[in-house]
Amino acid sequence: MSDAPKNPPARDANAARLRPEHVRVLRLGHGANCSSVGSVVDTLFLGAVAGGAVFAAICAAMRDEPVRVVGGGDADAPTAPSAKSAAAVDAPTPPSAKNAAAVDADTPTPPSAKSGAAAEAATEPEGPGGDTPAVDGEAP
Amino acid sequence: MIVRYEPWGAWVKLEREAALVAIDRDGARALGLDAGALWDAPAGAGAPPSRPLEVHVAVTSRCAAGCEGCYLDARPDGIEPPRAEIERRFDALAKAGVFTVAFGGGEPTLRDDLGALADAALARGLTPVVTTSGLGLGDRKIAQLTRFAQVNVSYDGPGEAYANVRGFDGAAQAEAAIARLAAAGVTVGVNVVLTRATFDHVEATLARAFELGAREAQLLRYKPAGRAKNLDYLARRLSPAQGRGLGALLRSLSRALPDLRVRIDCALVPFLSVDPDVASRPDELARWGVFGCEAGSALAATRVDGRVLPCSFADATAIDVSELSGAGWLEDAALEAFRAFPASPPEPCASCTLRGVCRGGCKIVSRFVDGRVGPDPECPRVLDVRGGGDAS
Repeated sequence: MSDAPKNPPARDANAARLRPEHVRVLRLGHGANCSSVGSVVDTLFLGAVAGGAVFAAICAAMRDEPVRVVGGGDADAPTAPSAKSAAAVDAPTPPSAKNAAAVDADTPTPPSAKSGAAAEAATEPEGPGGDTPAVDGEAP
Repeated sequence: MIVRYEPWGAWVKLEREAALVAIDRDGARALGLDAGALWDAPAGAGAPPSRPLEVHVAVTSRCAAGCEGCYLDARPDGIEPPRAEIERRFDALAKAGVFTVAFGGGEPTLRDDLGALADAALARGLTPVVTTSGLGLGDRKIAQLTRFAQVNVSYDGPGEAYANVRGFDGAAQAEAAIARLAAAGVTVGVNVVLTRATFDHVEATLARAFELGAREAQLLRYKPAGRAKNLDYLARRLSPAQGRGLGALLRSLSRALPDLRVRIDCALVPFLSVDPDVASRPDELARWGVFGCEAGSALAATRVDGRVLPCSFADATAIDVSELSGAGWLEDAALEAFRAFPASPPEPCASCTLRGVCRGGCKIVSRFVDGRVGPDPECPRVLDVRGGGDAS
């Protein structure tokens, strides 16, 4: 049994509260146009059920990924995140406990791309001052 | 996942799934996130980004293709900034919390250090994507392109269709590039410029691209910029009937090519204003992240000299990329001009159901056609109001 500290139970329970209704905007895929910004439009023609499933799957995916905070700018930099979030972000999570709390039984698997082969998996080199999340093959 | 706090919640870029999500404060808190004092004030509606989400970086202005409509006016003797300079620009993007850097030019694959630049972007937490003509792609260049999250090949159609847009027949090379990149495991898409000549053949073009291995297609509106900024634009732009037919075309493509993801660029959004189905669902468009003119807001671009542009087709602002995270981004007059229009548009934009998504349509087009930033003159709704709905 691992000696790694567990996430506070509150975080696991809270993560389950991330629902599709919390999602204001969802942009799928990377796109790769260097001149204008593109937006996926075939999702507009999904039925409500299929569309809802995509949102639910994205929420499930968000619950499982480690967090890295960026940005903030100079002129409007927020104050540092609270100690609570720092602890929640840094504390490693036993997969079984987190998944049991966070993943509904009916949650669909994250959307596979409306695409073909995924990019070759690559390990992200260490960023400036941060952790090194692995970047899996990215299916748009 | 990469999180950037906003006053209303947070933008979240997933790293295992290609998705960018705006979540509200409650959703962010459910994930254990807390922006502290940034969330003290009431959240308000909407999910506007405080800094760009995506920045288009011209890594070179060199290109030998000579496309007739090149918006950058790229040439064989163009400028190629030193790698260290590009990496400093990436530092600036990372500092601002930008998520995606789209490499462009010129022709990015002319840079021998392209793969290293992609790695430099990744090292800074940026997702690198790139557009290429696909011309002259050998094994070495393809190997460099595997470092990118997605590579789009410019492909306006087979044979004559390609030549009609670009002035030379590069279709075979572009098709070979699509196939070779896909075979190498690269996530490949195509950029397809919609002109009066190519619009009616789009389904065949996309079907061909899919057959070659492309899994995404981005439709781009032909714009009067660079070498396309001339009277020839008026003959090449979509006809009013074609513009009105965009919604139907997209539905048709979705049915015919269910495994090909289809995107439209920001400048095509106005044409959806007269589609009875799409125009009746503005909240859905917004929620699915359909972006109209986000120049100077969610989108920015940088020239080879590091100057910031509201978008790649616009004139340069007074600020350098190093100011993206500072007051310059918030206060530059040229950027503010792009943001101001959607905030308080005149009619017929003001009463349009897609106002919040379209944001006034393409200001590059309005400046060229009408001589000022205003309602997109080629928007079908605008044409109807102006009485030119049937004119070509």
